[in-house]
Amino acid sequence: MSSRRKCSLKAPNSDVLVEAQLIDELSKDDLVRAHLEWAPVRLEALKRLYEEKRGWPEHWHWDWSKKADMLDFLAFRCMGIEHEGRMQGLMMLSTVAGKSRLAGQIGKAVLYIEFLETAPWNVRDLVGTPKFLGVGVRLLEAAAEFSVDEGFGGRIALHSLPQSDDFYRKYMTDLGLDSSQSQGLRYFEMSAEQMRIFLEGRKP
Amino acid sequence: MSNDLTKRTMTLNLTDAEMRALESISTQKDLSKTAVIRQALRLYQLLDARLSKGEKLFFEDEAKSEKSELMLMI
Amino acid sequence: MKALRMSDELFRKRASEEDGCMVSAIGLKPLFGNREGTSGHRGELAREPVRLAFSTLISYRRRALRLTMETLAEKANVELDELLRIEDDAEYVPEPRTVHQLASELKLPIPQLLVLSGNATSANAELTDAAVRFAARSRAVEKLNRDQSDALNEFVKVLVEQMVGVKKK
Repeated sequence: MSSRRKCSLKAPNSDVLVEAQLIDELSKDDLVRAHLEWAPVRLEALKRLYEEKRGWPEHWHWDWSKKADMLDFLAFRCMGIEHEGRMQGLMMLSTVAGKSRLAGQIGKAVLYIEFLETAPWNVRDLVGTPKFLGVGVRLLEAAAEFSVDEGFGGRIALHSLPQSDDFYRKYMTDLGLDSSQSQGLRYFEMSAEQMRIFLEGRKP
Repeated sequence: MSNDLTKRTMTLNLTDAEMRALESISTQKDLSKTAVIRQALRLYQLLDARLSKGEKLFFEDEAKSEKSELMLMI
Repeated sequence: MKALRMSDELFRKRASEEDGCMVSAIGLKPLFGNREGTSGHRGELAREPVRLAFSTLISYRRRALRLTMETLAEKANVELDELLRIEDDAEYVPEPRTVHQLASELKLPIPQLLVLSGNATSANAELTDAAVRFAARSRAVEKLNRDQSDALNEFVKVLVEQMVGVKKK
């Protein structure tokens, strides 16, 4: 059964925090609705980027409604952040533990993030002025908490699209191009200690 | 974050050997016994779905260039 | 369980640092199996829009003509497997013969389809522009039938209007 809790997002160009809700278990309908809300905005952004001869985001063709079937399985769970009924970010998690490759915790269970995306209206490159900032941060925070709840100690792992490498490098260890796959994606992990730094702001 | 009110408790009857295996995996993986059982259930459900669709499950030993199918009746 | 939340002050800092970033992640673990015609999440990685336009065009046109894949494969005298790959795998380049057969059956112009399928090259910017727009539009609004059909009609119109020669690879 899903639960909602308050979480704040940041307005751009100010210190104002806006109240949103983190939903820890979305339904298939939620994903379909999010796709229908995001698709037209993404489409307009793609057209404009194309006209301006700028590159398209690497996930321009994603369709969350097609990922909905994953929720038939215990092995997957989707979380989202909602503000006034509109989904601001989505994160699909694998509840089947991954295996850490990070020195100091090799082989330990990690929470693997299958998909993560912020709503197109929150991305400066797509819309000019984002509506909210911090959606990615809040989703990582939620992932850390879920990782602890599941007994994975706060450890998180993901493969990043190249466009997002810089974001994850701020908080996670970049373990480089994943040679076990041919897609040219970098693999990142957050250790329990990095999670503490991420949440508390302390440097070692 | 997980709403503990939605969890239900059950009693699991295991043989000594099964309990030893569960404890060993739990220690090895640094997961609680409950977490191990939940992992097994999640994996089982996924495997069952794919196998029911007619897909096959293989082990592969790259070093020996060997591949063998897991014949599972689930 | 103690809630793991960052302070408002720290969140403001982190959120500001997120500005200008494109936050996304994509899983490579194949636990879920084939999705959108390719294994694991490989289908989720960005494909070249023009090639994606070809897959979508074939699929939409077939559906607009109310043909199942089996029926189209039979009428066009192509392998069903290959048709499946054409519609689901945007990295697959079909045989020129298959493209000819499908184009004839679906009443689409052969030269343009050879370009879109990756079998021929063309310096025709209008064709590639139209293909890119079609790919974006069809992916973004896949759930809405009316838009699918508008997108398809617009793209087919461009193809048919194209009378420029193409250079075979």
